[in-house]
Amino acid sequence: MITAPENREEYSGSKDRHEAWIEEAIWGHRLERQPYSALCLELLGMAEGLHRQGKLLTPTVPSNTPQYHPHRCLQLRNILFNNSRLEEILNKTRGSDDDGWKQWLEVMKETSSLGSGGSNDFSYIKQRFDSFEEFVAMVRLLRRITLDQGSERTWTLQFLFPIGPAALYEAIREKGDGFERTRGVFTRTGEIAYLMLSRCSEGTRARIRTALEKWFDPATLRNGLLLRLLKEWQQDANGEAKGGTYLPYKAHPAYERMGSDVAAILELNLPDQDAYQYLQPLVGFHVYLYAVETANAWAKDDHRIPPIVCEILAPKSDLVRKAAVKSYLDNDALGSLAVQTYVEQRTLKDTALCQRLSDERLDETARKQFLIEHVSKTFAMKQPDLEERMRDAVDVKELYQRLFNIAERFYRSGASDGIVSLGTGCGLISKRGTTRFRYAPTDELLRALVLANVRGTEEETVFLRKLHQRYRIIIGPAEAKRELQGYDFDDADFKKNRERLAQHLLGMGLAQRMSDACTYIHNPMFVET
Amino acid sequence: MPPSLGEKWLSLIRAYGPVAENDAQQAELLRTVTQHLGVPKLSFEHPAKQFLIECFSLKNGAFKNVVLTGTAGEGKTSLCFELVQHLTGEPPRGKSGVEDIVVDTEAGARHVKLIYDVTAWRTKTNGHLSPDDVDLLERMAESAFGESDKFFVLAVNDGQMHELFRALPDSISPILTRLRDSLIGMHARGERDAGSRLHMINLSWIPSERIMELCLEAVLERPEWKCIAAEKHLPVFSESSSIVRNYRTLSSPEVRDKLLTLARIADVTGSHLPTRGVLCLISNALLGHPEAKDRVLRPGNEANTISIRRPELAALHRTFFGENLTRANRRKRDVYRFLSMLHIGEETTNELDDLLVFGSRDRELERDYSEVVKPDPFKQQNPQFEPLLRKYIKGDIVEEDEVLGFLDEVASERRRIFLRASSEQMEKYSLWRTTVFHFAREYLDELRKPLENGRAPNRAQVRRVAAGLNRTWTGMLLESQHQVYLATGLDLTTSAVSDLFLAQLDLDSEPAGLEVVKKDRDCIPFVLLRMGTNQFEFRLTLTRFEFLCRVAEGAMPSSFSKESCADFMALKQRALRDLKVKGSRRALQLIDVQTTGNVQLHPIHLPE
Repeated sequence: MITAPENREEYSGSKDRHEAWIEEAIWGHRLERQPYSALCLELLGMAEGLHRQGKLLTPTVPSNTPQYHPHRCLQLRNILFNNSRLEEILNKTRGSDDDGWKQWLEVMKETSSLGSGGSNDFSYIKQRFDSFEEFVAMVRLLRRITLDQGSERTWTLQFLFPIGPAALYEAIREKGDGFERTRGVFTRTGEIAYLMLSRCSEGTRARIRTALEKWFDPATLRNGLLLRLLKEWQQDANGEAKGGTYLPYKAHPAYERMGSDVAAILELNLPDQDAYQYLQPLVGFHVYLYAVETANAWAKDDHRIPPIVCEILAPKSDLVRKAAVKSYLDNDALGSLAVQTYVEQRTLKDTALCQRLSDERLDETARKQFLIEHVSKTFAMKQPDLEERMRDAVDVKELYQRLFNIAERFYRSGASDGIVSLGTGCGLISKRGTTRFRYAPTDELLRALVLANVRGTEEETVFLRKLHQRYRIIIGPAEAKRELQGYDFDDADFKKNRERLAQHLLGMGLAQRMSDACTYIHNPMFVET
Repeated sequence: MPPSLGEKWLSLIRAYGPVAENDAQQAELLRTVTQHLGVPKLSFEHPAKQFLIECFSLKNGAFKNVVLTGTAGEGKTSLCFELVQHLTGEPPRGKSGVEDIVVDTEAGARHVKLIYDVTAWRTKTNGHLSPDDVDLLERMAESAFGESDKFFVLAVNDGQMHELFRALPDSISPILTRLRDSLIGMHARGERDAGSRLHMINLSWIPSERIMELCLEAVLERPEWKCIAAEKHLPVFSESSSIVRNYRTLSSPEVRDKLLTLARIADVTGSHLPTRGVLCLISNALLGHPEAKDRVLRPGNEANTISIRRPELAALHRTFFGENLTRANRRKRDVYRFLSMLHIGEETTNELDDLLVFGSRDRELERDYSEVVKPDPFKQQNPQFEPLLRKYIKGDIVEEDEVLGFLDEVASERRRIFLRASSEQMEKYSLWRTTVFHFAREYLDELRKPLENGRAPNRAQVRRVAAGLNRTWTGMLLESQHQVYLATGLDLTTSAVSDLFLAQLDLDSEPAGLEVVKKDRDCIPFVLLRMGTNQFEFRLTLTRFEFLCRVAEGAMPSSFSKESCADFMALKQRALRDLKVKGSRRALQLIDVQTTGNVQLHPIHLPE
């Protein structure tokens, strides 16, 4: 049971910096919107930090989150993202290599930002390149793998595709003479994903660890490109430790589900970091599933993923689209319900509290005061704030109502937004072709699901059944008939939906059609080990 | 009045058409026609019959267990009946879809159990196959992997086969598991044998082209067609009847040949056309008419009146594509879905449209016009087309409906020309450009045909493949056709622009770095890439070839077809993995494409 008290552990850190601790207790600290590219990067950053401590994917518990020291890679970041005059200098000094180096080093001395104690001397770079022009070519090349190009984020919030461990560094902001850590890009959602992996079975963790260790090898050619721009990389991670992310459940079906899919992708043995393009949609997809499954457990005491009806993009609206919209809305509503249930459980259904409130010796004001104190303590809300918000509530009943409203507001602006952004980012949820959100997976997500689930070849029916059993995804008529109410189900429409899936997969080289009664789903990357 | 012989014949053809709602209804319809009217069914010797008989050698008694699979309507049951007749010399007498026979061979008696109607045979309890049925399958498994003298023939649709295995109870014996896994694996991989005693014949492996050839023969060469001469007093057999015109058109060598080519296209795009589908297509092509009650003419009053009223509405280039049928009816059938996927007539070239519109009016175009547009020996052209054209030229077609109507008519004309053009005309007027496969001729005639005949494919087409791969796999406009450049992005192998050079494969090296080859019995050629001792190969379907040709010509890979582009990116990933391509450790080599399209490599040196 996901929500069973023995499956949960309290957060051991301080809650002082939080306005409240409600959604955090349900989903963890925390699910919050972030640029989608940051999700996997944050996950890898944490993994890399722990890898350096020899603790990569060692088991974790909710009450004791591991801490790690992320890299800052300031020289690299200055060269790539805080170095706007590079091309201009190359153009002006063409023909004279020495002039080029001289001017550039001077400019960097003036404009680079390395914080107090950091040296603005980039002359080590000159020793490492045959010519200034070659250096510029290298910078151009590396700039091309900037993530979210055109995002207009400041230079300290620009990131690289993770071609090696030196591309994994933390998000910072300039502050005074130095820098401070910011949680604006890495909102901890990627760390939640890491913690989920760290709670899989030992076998699965070992499979993932074996693959990731190769990714974190600093001696690869690609990582060498980055190290060349850094004076000393190993010395770079001595700053303040990072930690405090919280995932409330010791065990959760989502952990192993995510872990086995991640392991399956990593074991495809693709060149370099090619697996990353498939991990990106999958990680978001699994954290989304974790979120709705958890919400379902709290809201309905149903410890399964709620049904996810997926429309394979149809030319016009049909019953599949209606069912997909409905299932999305139903699942979206689970979050609020979960928050309400959790708040109720800790207040209205708290026997000790209820007994105290029904004490006839207390007048209404004392009751209200007692409840405010209880709420403040239970949900880590600041008492003065709470008193302010509750001041003119006439009775305990109204106070409760206000509490629910506050909790709902926190949820809507925090976790709810984060969960939706995971669903849209991974390609599960979209408005394509309509004006409303619904489950309509992209080809990229479908491909990742095939690669993670199909070992070699599998008959379509078996594949669809597996998607249903593992993720409760409904695409074809067999699963729809089992899950949907009569008026939502139409055999012909769901058959067409299944047919569209086959067509998409055929086009992508992921299916082979034998006849109208038999299609094989094929994982072309799979190799028997 | 009782139906004439000719009308009975048409009734038989109609029974194969798109009039039945389902298989059972069609079987019933056929039974009625053959039994009541006494017209023998359409028949031909199935190309798989020989394979089946070879599994039961009467000489040495070395029988095999056979699973005969394929889509519905391929003729599995008939093949089983023929096998019984062959082995016992007696007609089949099986009940409930099962038959037991004892065969005397020179090595002694052999028992054979044939299951040719799985649905009638199997019984289920609680959603699972009954213990008796499981027992039978287990005995089959024991025979397949053991030494029993009892053999089994299981005829089953491919969908049913999976259903049957899904209905097995949760715990089954290891030998039955082995049978299930072997059969599913053989079916998926197109293999025929698992050991010496288990054989699979998938009727879908018989090329659609062969099926089309046999079906055309079975329909067009029946003596019953003499009714056209013998019963010409009936309007339906007069020269102004759409049926007679369609029969004549369909019988012309160019059209017959075109149908074979289209079936070949099905084979090389991985869309198998089953016998039932092909017969349906031919039946509707002959008898289809949009004004008929079921949209397929019924011999008798209906055919006698409607077939001569506006025969152009039922011209072959319309009925062949199922234009007379409802959209829902067409969509139900794989064969029409396949044809609509080709988009014949929906694309065009300026030259062809000039011929269609101005051909009869422009002296310069006159010769070509009389060669390719004007000939209409069986009056298939819409007589309204010429007035419509005049109106168009005058600029009198302005309303949206009219414009759409006119465009439809032009597309229909293109289809008429496409169907009756000879192969020389197809090439001369680039008529494949009116379809989605602009390069079908090059593929069929210059790659596939030489390979089928044991010769090397045309070098220009192989170079085209190389050019397309270069364009897709590097994302740059390389001119090179003599090498395949293997390159990667700094981030992903599949980066839209992959300009980090890894290796190059020379087409002219020995052995060649890229070859297009034929493999075993596969009718689709393979692209084979070689690097050192490592190889990587993939099936070069027409769809893939078309994509490569289009991008080689300059189309943007991802905007031409997102799906094909994704397919090729996955192929690239596998190619780099399987060829074990590793770039230099001394320098990164950036590919620079010069304005001439030539490649220059710029090194960025790496630290020692």
